[in-house]
Amino acid sequence: MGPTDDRGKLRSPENGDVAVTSTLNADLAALLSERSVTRFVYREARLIDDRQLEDWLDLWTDDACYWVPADETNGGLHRVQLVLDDRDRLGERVYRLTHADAHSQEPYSRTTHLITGVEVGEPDNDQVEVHAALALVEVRRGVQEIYAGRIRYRLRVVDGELKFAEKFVRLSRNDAVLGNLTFVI
Amino acid sequence: MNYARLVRSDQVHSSVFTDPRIFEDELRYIYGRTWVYVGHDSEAEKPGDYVLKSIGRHPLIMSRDEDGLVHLLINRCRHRAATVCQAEQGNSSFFRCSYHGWTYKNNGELIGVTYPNAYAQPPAAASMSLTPVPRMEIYRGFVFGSLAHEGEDLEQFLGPSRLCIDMLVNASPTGKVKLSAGVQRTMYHGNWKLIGMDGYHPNFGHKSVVNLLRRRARLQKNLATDSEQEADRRQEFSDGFEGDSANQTADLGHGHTRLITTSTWDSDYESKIEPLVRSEAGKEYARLLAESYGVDRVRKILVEARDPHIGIYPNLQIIESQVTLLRPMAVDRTEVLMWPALFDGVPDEINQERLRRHEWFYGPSSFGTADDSEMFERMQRGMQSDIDPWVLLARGAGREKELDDGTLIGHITDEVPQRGMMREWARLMTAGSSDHQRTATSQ
Repeated sequence: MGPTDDRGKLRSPENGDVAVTSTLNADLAALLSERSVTRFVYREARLIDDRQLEDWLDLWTDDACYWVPADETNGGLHRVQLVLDDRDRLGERVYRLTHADAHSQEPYSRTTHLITGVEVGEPDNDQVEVHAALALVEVRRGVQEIYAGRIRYRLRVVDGELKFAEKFVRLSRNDAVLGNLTFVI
Repeated sequence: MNYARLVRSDQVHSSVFTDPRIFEDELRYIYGRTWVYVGHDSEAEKPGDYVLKSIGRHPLIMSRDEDGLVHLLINRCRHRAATVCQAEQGNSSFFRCSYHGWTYKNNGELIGVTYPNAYAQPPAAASMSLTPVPRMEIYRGFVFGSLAHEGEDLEQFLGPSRLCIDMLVNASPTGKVKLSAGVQRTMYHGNWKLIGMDGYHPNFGHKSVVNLLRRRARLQKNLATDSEQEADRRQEFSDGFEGDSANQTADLGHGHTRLITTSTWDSDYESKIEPLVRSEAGKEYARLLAESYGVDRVRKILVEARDPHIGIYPNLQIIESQVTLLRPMAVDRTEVLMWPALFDGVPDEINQERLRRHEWFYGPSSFGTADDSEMFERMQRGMQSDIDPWVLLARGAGREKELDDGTLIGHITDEVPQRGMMREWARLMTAGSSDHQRTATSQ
């Protein structure tokens, strides 16, 4: 799943350095445990749905990548994307959505993120890869839209806290004709 | 229907945007007769490549044959009318109808009919090949088709709007752009004519973008508060669309319209464009441009590359790095397909910068065009009321200047493009309906 160029390249447990696992200290192990990671992923969805986007922004690393491709070609950075935010652009997205004049979110979209099938990978040093299924129900002006897809998260422990280094969302409809997708996916 | 009565010199009746019967007539009298933008030849780059396209409701295949020639074929088997090509894009020497096995070459030629002996006269390639779009012409890679067998050629049709296509294409050192990075397919619940060149709206419709650019300036200058920033309020994007901007609008005839923003990009060259050619990739890009066009022209090319902001009637827009195709689906539903145009023969970083800049403003999750779509939908809802049915397009009507070639020029905030598009609409619809009546009465 997903592009394979530098920005999206993952150090999966299969090809990573397995030996480091044993050197994880207890805190790191607790943070990267299935329970902790799953709670963190659910919390992210709740912050979006509750429109606490400033808090949501705090969940990301400085080198964050929030990525929603516009097709299935896995063409990476050489393709046009629906969303490809680094930390700066993520900040702009949140600023736009939390200030006036983002007309496409007036009225705003009410979203419900259903995150399920969470699979937490083996920690790789301070990182862990997580897969989940998404059903996103959006209601705006009384019209309900459903977007489904798969999410790949990459979480990292930074200064003793879990952060998202990457959230890669492969929407089933990504290459279909789409309406207003200006809410946070 | 009397179409001339629905369009006044500075007003248009809202039924033009809401009446389904008028929409049906538009498919016949506009999309069925004029040149319509279909696609870019880089979408079918190699022999055998094909991509599905359309004109109005006609499903098309744009294919490139083994000799490298581009074809526009109606995607309809000549036997029982099933579409013969299903994949959005691909590479194939043949299109074979899966229903009864009729087979066509990728240039449309009928080459196989199953069990042909049962026909009194077996279907022949000469008469039963895939129907080509009656006329097709290509200007610098942009493929246009016309469903009318006769009419002016593409060059006459494009007129001065060709210069804007040149501005985009000339910024490639090889003189080629490529629409090979994929497409964003968006839609809005509104009429296709609501989208157009509009230099009046950016400071209001795109207020959130203006806010973001001010925030950037503030962060760069480490200004702490909004009030400090107020003193330093003016900046490039909003300035270009202020009431005192030197930028202009143009009605180029044929409904083709343009925003002329050269003055903004020229005066911002040092701050906005020059930094892009300071990187290693940028230096290489500038060197390649100088090699192709001469070192004296590099600055002009880089400025002009930011300037294309043109609507080619009825369904093509080129705005800086992106190419937009409009698909009228219903009177109140329009699909907007947006391709970032990449330059051929430049360092990869140059095109990636174009892609990332594109995503910022264009697309369903973007900060720019999503707000445009919202406005189009609000207009469509507002127009459900026809107590006061006239839509006002009067801004700057008294201050248009006419150039020698007939081009009308106005201030950037003037509704010169809107009047130009509606004038062409009324001309085409009137001509179409009178031709239709003439044909009907002669039968």
